[in-house]
Amino acid sequence: MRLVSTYWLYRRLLFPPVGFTVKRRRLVSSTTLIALVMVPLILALLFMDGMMGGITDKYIMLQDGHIQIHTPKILFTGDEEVQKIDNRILKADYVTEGFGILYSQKNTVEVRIKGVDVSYFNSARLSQFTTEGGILERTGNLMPVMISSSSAKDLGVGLGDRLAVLIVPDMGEAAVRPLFTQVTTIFDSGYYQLDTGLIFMDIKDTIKLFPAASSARTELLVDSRDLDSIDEVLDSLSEKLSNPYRFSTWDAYNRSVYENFITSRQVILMVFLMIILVASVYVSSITGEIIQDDRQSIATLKAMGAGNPLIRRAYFHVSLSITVFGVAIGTGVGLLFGTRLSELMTFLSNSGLPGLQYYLLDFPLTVSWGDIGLVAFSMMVLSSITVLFALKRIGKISPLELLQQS
Amino acid sequence: MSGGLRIPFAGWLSWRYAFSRSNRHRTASFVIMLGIAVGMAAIITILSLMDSLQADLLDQIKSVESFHLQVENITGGSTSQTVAQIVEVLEELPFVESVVPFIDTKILVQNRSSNRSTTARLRVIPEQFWQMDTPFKHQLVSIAGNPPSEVSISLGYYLYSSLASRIGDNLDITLLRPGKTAVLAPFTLSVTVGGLFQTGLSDFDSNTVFADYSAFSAIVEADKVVLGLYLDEQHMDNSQIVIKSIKERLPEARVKTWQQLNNAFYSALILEKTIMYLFLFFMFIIIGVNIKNATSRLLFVKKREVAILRAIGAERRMTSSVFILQALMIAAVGQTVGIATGLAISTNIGKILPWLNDVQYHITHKNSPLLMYPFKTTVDGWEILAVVLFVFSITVFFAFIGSHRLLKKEPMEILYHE
Amino acid sequence: MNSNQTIGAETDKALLVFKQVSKEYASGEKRLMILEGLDFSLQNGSSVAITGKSGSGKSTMLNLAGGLDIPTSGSVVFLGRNLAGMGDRELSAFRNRHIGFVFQSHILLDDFSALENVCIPSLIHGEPLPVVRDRASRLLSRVGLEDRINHFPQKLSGGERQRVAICRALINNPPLIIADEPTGSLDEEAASHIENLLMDMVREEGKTLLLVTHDMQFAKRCGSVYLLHNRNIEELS
Repeated sequence: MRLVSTYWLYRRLLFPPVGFTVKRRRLVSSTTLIALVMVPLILALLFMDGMMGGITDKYIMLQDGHIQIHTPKILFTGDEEVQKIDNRILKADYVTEGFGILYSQKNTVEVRIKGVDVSYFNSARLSQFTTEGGILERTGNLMPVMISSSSAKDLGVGLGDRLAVLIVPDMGEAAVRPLFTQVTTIFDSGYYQLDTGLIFMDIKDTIKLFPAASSARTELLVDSRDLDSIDEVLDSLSEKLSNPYRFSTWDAYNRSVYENFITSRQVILMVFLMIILVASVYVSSITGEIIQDDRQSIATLKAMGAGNPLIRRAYFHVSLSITVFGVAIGTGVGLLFGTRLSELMTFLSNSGLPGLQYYLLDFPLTVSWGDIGLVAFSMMVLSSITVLFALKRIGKISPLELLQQS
Repeated sequence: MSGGLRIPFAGWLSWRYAFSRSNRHRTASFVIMLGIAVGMAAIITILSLMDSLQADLLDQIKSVESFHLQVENITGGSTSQTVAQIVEVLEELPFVESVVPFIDTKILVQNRSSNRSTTARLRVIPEQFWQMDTPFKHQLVSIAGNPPSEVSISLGYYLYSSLASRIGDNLDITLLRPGKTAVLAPFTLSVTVGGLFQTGLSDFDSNTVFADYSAFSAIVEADKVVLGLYLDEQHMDNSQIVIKSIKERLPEARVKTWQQLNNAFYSALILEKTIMYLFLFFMFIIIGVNIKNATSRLLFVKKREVAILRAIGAERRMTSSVFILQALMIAAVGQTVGIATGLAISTNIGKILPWLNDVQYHITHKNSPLLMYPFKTTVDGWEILAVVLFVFSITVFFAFIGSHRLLKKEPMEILYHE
Repeated sequence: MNSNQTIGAETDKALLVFKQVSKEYASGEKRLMILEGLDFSLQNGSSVAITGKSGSGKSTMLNLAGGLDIPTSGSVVFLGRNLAGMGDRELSAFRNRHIGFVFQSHILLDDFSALENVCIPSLIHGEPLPVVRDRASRLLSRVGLEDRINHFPQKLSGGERQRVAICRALINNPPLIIADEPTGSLDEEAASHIENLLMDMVREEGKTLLLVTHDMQFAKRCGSVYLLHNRNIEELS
């Protein structure tokens, strides 16, 4: 019976009858405000998770892979072979890496040179950038080279132009010689920090230029659904490969970038927490107002025998409902606006703000339900706690208040 | 007539109303004050941390990477003045503390003993620069060995590690310079690692090799020499007057400020701060809505009192302003508490964060890089003032919205009870 | 009964004069005429009671007299000055110096003590608090509230609150006291005390009193009694 009474009171409070305009307006405006608080938080989360995920993907796809096996030996002749070891591994690529200086009449640019086979660029990798020209398409005698649009701009070169590269030679050679290459492809990943200083060349050329002993490795791409079990993949590789090779993962390879992401997330979530705290105090404030306005009704209920727990439960559920509705609506609207985030990013990238080169503005929408759940849950928990303080007032309302004149 | 005490009476009334027990307005006022205090403390702490981090970074950049000003094309193609003469001329300019000629060039570095190689940036500066009392000296720490000399170079710490080199190792450096037939031709020379340095900029340390100017100026392109200028504290961030003086003496020269040289990075820092401001501003909007509600409710309850005040001679403007004034008083108290709390946290951040790290370590068994970072804080008084004024503006705005509709009508109308 | 009667010997010496005053209010789409072409004058030092049925316009007449409202037509002249011609600032100052109000529901400020409530009209005028406090203290002593000066309205009874309201009305020494049903919400005993208090203080201070009341016994204690009827006024003999 108590639950029925609570439910009955809760329903009357949450859905005041027609004519109680002020009460209805207050409930609607409170829910709206909570929703409005949630919208920018959700958008910020979508942006943060999307951008960090996007940057991580670019580093993984274009620079380091998920797992690196440091050996000059060619371990796998095809993807099927590595998938027999662990079917969570999608692709294995033998690559070489070295350093060089690109120079043109206009400028010089320090670069990391990655030697790859054309098969390196599978659909997953190709989706990470836009390209002009055929990928590492050899059209003449010169070595094809794939440079970024930002490097091309700095060097003042375009497709088909010749470019000199100064590389660190094989240790057996006495002198450094410049090489002439031809720009066959210009790529743009959208992330300046990665693009600047990265070029691709055909591994058949780079294997002659860089000593395999120090420059070659095998990069593995793992299925995105199995990223949480990379340690298990490493274990199965260690087990099944005959020699004890040195392994590394992306985050270990790019420690500072990875830690920067973790730190940024923590700072942003802390700021969110403060905003949620202030919003939950607002919910408590509204609850206090509702109780204050209903004090005569509460006094009447008490005079008729209703106990404090019953009344408190009803008002608690009203506050919780305001929060839940607000969070749900705000999350929905935020996600809806999030589908338009790319348009906003396009607008920003066209704004020409120089600082934006440190950000990635073209990334797929990534909905991290864990983060959204955390924010929503925090709001509900904090609101529930702050509302308890407002509910204390119910205990102080006495049936004698019925005798008070307004 | 009654000019002298009008404001104090309105203030007295506002103060009483701000903490009125009617309709539990006092509780509402305390909640608002608490919200403002939390918001202010958060803003001050976060902004002081950000300011400190950013100031630290920018200080490092100005001191070791880009100087306060850089002057390129100093001779303008003419041979009438030597670099040394031009340095002397610029050193005599007001607000200029020191002038450093340097050349930057990209190089390839090979360590044959470890079989490692990489690209780097060679910065050639005079040997005496290492002894001069400049911001460079204060920011750069010599970890081992000696500064670069005619016979040795100095490597940044991370570069040293990536090359797996040791003091005394020979490195091959290859750079580009104008060739006899080619525009640019590679030139390789062998150098000895004489020293190891570290700054607060990991990118700088992983990419920079210092060499002596007198030994290398003949090897690298001498006409690419750039003058780095250090200015006094007042002008280092606002150097227009110095730029003007330089242009008067060297009309062909190109002068760039550190902001221009680090345009993208500087712009990114400003962007981050702006975004942080927006988030924190958002918090105050929520508090503003609270203020609006509380002010409406207070006015509703006090309608009859306002009517009698009007009847006994209070002007309409005065009675209207009381509700905004009471909100401002609440905001003022909240801000005072918030500023004091924020300053206290900022000053003791070095103790608070490690303690928080210890607490979270007991749960996660992992140290948090964020909480372990040796933060310092820089409190900018002007920034705090700007936030204070902003909060007052929000308060006035929302209190006005909360009271405006009810005060549109003449309060005395409720006395017309028939 | 004669409407449009001009009462009193010389209206130009009167404290308050109503000249052909009409007042109408909008009620939805209808317009309600409360007073029509009313002429009335109040002499300095007199005490006048206005009676009439509910809705006859008594409070409206008091509101117009006190400058709380403006007539639809006609003029209300107080000490030779047309109240309708004054701006808010001037009118507020005028009310503050020249009129003391006593309402049925006293309306004290809950956040101020009895003493502070009495001081408020003078503080609005701009007098220093220490000076006003003494005066207020003396007034409250006269009405028997010397032990309650620091009590807040919530701690005072209805009669005590009305006594505070009377002191508040007198603090600025205004020439005219307007009292609208001052005993309306009090029990018989308290009402009687208030009646006596009001009449005594008005007489002792030499004030002019304009009183609205349903209580004929109370009304007869005034110098003249008028009846508001059919949107106009007439003196009862």
